[in-house]
Amino acid sequence: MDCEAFRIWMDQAGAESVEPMPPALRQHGDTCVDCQSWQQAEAAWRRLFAAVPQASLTHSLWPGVRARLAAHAAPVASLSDELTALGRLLVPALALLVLSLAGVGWWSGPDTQPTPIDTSTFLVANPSAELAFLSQDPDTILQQWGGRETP
Amino acid sequence: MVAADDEQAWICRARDGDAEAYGVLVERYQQRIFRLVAKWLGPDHAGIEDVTQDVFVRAYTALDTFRGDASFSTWLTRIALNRCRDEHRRAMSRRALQEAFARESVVGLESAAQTLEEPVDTSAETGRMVHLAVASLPDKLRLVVTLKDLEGYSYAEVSRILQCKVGTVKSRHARAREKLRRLLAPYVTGLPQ
Repeated sequence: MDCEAFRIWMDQAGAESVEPMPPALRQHGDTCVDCQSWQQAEAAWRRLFAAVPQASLTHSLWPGVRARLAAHAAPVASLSDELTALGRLLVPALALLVLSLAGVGWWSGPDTQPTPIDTSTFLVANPSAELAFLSQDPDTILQQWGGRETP
Repeated sequence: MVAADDEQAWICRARDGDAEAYGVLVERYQQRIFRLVAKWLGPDHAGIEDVTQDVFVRAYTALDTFRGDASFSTWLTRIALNRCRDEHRRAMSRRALQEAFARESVVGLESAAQTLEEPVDTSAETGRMVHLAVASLPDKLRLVVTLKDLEGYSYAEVSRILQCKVGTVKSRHARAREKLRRLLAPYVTGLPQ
């Protein structure tokens, strides 16, 4: 056993509950001059620090702590309540919004109705489609031009 | 009193919102934390109880962050020390704080010596001077002395509380004692060499 082990044991013994000092350490403490003077110095420091005024608590702090915790928790609880209430309003509103958007998307989705062809414009823009124009029914053409079934 | 084995159970209950379970923990550690706060702020400081209560409130609100790597006592002590340091920072800047400590220390030591006219031989005066001398140390050294010498923690425990190596704690402790020896030597007889 060396001085270091002895001093570590002594350090822990002063603060924590430890096993009784092993015989080898005890023997070292009894014979090592350095460790004996170290022990004396430590004892002197302990006496010095023991003189520092001690404050002592005379009553429980728990009632005060509990009151503070309650005061601390109260705003949190009300905030939580407000968030819950807001959530109750927001969730249906959001659901409605999502459904509306989905509906609009559905209605303006892939257009299954053929777009009426403005034949005149079509002809100007696409002269190569002249043959298709000629093969159309004349009544249909008149209806598109005039917007009436009969001229 | 809470058995060590039961402590984890009380912590779990408190974490689940059982305030009364937390009350058991407060009752267990209040004396130790109160004493530590008093040693940091000074026994005559008006806010010792207030700060101690605040330590427990902070600990409760941070209970979810307690992982159990260190003991509850160690974790609580860490919160208390941080709170004590905040208390001083709130009052004044670091530089002003050091100057105030130094001034208070010198005045305290000199007035005590003048009053007694002889080397200090009363434990009350010695204690007051030791407190002033410790208070005048830089924070890092003061923390170690407060925990090791005033509170009686081992080097290993101090290392866990301050989250630094044991070697660092020992080194700071030696430096702190050397400074204390120089500060107190003119006024206190029988200082260890």
